[in-house]
Amino acid sequence: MSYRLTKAVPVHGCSCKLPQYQLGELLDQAGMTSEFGPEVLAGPWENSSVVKIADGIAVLNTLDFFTPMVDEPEIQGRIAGSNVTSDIYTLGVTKIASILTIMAFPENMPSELAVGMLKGLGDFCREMDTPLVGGHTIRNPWPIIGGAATGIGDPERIVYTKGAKSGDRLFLTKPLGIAPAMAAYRLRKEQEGKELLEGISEEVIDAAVNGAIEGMITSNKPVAEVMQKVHVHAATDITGFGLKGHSENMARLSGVDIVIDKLWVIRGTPQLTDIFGYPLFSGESKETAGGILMAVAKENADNLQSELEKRKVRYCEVGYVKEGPGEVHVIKAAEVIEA
Amino acid sequence: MSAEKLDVSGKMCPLPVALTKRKLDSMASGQLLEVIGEGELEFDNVQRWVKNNGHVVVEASNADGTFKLLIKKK
Repeated sequence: MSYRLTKAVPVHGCSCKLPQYQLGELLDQAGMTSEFGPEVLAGPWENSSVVKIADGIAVLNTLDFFTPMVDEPEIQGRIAGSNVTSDIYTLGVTKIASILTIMAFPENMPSELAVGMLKGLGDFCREMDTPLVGGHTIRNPWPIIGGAATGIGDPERIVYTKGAKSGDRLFLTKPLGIAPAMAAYRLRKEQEGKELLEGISEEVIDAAVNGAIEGMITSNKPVAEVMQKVHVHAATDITGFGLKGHSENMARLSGVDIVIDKLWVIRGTPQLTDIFGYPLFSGESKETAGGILMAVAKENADNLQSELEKRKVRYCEVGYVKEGPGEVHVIKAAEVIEA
Repeated sequence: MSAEKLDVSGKMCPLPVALTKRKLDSMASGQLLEVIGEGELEFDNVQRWVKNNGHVVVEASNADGTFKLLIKKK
């Protein structure tokens, strides 16, 4: 098939997100950061909105869609499923009542690619015990896939981006480096890209690409299960704003400083970063369907690790929380650990 | 001093940054590089990479979808 999903768009996955500052300006101008009623427990600043509808019951809503990361449509559908459900799981909620899909495709895109993306998304939702109940599809110059998810949780047990405390330890559940790995995925198919990648072994590129795809299609649901068992002060998933940007949200909302002293990255991505120039080592490289960053009190850290291990969730301790005005410090001598 | 030239027009991410980086790697400290390209995103990405890596943007222009950057290698 000559049509390639990743060739149809100039930006891929969460890289198509608006920059954080630009989004903030838009929300400010639209008056969308104004106060809500007491039933709204979380709004635009959070991964999902949270609205308390009755004692003990909150409804969570999120919408997430993006341009293709891969050319294989079913894998692309799975990545979209993993990404949209993550915004609910990140809040420690495991029950997703339903998902609606949003899909856009160009006139010249073969219909089997649209079918494949829907199939991948549907299969992922089925495996998460979440019904895909409908959606909306439009014609559009860029192919797009994603969805809107509705979660149900106990308002007293939801974990927010806000709440990290000085002394907390920080754990991340997927390694970083999606952007350089997937750039290699695309560029190894082009002559100019092949020339750039000369000197890097196929084995290293395969490790990076396979590690990135495996990470993106891995659900964060087991992490939500862990957060229901172990008290976690704050959590956020790591996507388009990168580790540093999402950590900055956590630090600012929590009124603490965050120190990142380990960079846990997909194997092979340091070499690729050296060629492509992504800001991986400053924690600013954009991620797609990334892991969850959790801030947990020292006394609960062993229990958290034990519960993650029971569910075979990979993780790395990447830093800690300290008193401060709400800043993030990615230390220059941060240890780089290849997963 | 005359500047080396690099045209990244029509190149998709991450090629504009990667090609700029490769070109600068081959140049001596203090040499100038003129990069021509297209797109707001590419303009931002190349400029940010240049600054974050200690090189100097001597001149920058971006109009009608085409940008030009004059860079001094650190």
